Amino acid sequence: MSELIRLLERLSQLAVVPLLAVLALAVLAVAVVHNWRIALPAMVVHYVAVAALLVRVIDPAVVLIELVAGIVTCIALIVASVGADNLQRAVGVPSAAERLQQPNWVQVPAQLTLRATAAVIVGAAMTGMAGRFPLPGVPLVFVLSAYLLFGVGLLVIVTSFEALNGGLGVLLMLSAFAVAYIPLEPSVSVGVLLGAITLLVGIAVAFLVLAEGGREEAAHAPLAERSESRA
Amino acid sequence: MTSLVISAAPIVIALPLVAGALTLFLRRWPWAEGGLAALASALAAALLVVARDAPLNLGLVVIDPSAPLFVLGRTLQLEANTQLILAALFAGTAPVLAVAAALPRQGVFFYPLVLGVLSAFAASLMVRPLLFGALAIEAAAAFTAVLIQADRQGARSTQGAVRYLVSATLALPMFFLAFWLAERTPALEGDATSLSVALLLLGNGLLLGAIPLYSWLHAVAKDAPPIVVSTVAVVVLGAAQAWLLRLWDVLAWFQSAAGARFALLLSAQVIWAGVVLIAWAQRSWARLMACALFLEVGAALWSAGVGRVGAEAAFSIAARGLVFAALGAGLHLLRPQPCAEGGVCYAREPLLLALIGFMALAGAPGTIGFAVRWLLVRASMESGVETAGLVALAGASLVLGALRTALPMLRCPAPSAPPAKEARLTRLLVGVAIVLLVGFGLLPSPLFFGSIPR
Repeated sequence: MSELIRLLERLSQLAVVPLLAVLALAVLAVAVVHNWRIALPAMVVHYVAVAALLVRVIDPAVVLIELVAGIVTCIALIVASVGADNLQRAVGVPSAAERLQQPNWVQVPAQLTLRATAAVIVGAAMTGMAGRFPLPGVPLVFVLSAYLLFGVGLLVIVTSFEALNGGLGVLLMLSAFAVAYIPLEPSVSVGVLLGAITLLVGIAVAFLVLAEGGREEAAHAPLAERSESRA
Repeated sequence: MTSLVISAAPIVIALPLVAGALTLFLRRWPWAEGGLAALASALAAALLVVARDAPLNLGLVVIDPSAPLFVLGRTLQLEANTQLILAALFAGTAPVLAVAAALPRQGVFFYPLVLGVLSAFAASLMVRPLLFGALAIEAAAAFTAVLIQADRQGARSTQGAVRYLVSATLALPMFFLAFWLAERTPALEGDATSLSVALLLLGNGLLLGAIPLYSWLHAVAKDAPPIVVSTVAVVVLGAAQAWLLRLWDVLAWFQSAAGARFALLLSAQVIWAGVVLIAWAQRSWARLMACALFLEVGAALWSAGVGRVGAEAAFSIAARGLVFAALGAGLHLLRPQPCAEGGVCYAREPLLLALIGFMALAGAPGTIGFAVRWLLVRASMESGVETAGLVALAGASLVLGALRTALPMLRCPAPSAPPAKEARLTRLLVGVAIVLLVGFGLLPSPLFFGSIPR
């Protein structure tokens, strides 16, 4: 454990610009590529970057809790995504790995370009907002990260309808909240509470991912819906 | 010997959690599972009501709701109005859980989830600083998303759950910024006040599903099973209403901002006008449920706008529990059955229950909904009769929609008798629901928890 804490402290000694660049690239990958095999590792990188930022203002042990909660959440989402992939493959829907190996060259370039353009615009807007509307008492690097995470989280939610991507957007917004609030109140209870909420939300999203992957059956449809569809 | 004085806050938070854990061991007996959940909810309500005016003396232990509890630098304490509303929230949830016990299970962890949501919302209504209340709501939202999903599967089946989770998460930074602005500028003035008030209104609008274009209410009403929709209407909407009323009650700058009152009242009127225009044209129970939820959201916004944060608000939340329990049961039991002449037909009893449920929501005289709507209309008379008319029209539109949906089902012949056990259960549920809806409609005073408003 102490090795991990030392590693986090080392990471926090990095210059701010590389840390921000890693964070921006990670969230950009989540926003642009809607494939869990890329998005979830990018989420792990984002949690590490956020932890490296937070360790500057809060006890490293608390940041470690936050980091572990984020990584466990990503593992839960990976397990759920594998399960959903298996369920969908059974009905002939290509899995995430197959979509990476054999991309749909008719749709993918247009989708990626659109999302990348939107992400760049949102990133630029958020950078501008961080300068225009800073949060007094919060260091600029945290303000910038929080705005960036919130904007990209919102973008991910807006540009997707699947539970996984919607959930990733929610998790990015929770990270934004942690980055904005923890410098204001760097206490153990806040760090632990935010870690616990990340974990709870992650488990809920994993449940939804699995539900979405399953096949819809008539027996599961609400009775009132079924009755009116036959009426 | 001196008695040990303990705060009621940890008991109210822990009771549903313990009961939720116990229900996991009763999964083989659905009646016991649901009964225990309903009992825990009723017990929490009873504790809050009994200890309302004076601490509850149990000999060695005295339970004092006003006693603060300090946990990791935060304070858990019940304010007087919140205590009453929280009691109503628990009292309103009990009938829904009792009804759910009589029906097939709604998802794998229905009871533990409902009790977990209740516990998290109870914490959100007691904790100080208020920002931690918003964090507790986020935790409750995680449980609620799984509750909404129930056991449904398939693409697009998660829309309601994801939307609710997103709405609750979007509300979090709004509350954070509003509280933080208020904290940094003790004498809020000018732009800072307007911004804080706007953020609070936006955050509460998201929690209540009142924001157009991204409302989670219709997605949940459309997809989730009826009894889950009823649970959401009572627990989630009730808690969101309680949170709004708490903010209104404790934040003097929010209450005194002229724009806040105007925005709340205007939002309620716009929502009711929407229900007037839309509800009558629906021929789907699910969409009518969505309209019913919007009607309740309007009422929640209005009660905050006119400052009804005590007994009247508590009464409306408790009554909502009874009405939605009946409505959920009616729609759940309303299943198509094969006809002797071919095609499908519908049992009359659940249809009658659904219709009475919608009439109660609309405020039909003789039902409990009448007392709720009468209080609302009385409060709105100060701002003119237009609002009273709007509420009445929204109710009428809802009933018209329900009649239009029910008529084709009534035209087909009555189905042959269902199995004896199912028929008995249906008749029992319908009978009890009608007795309660009409009984409390004629004698509503017990639901005011001893604080009947003049």
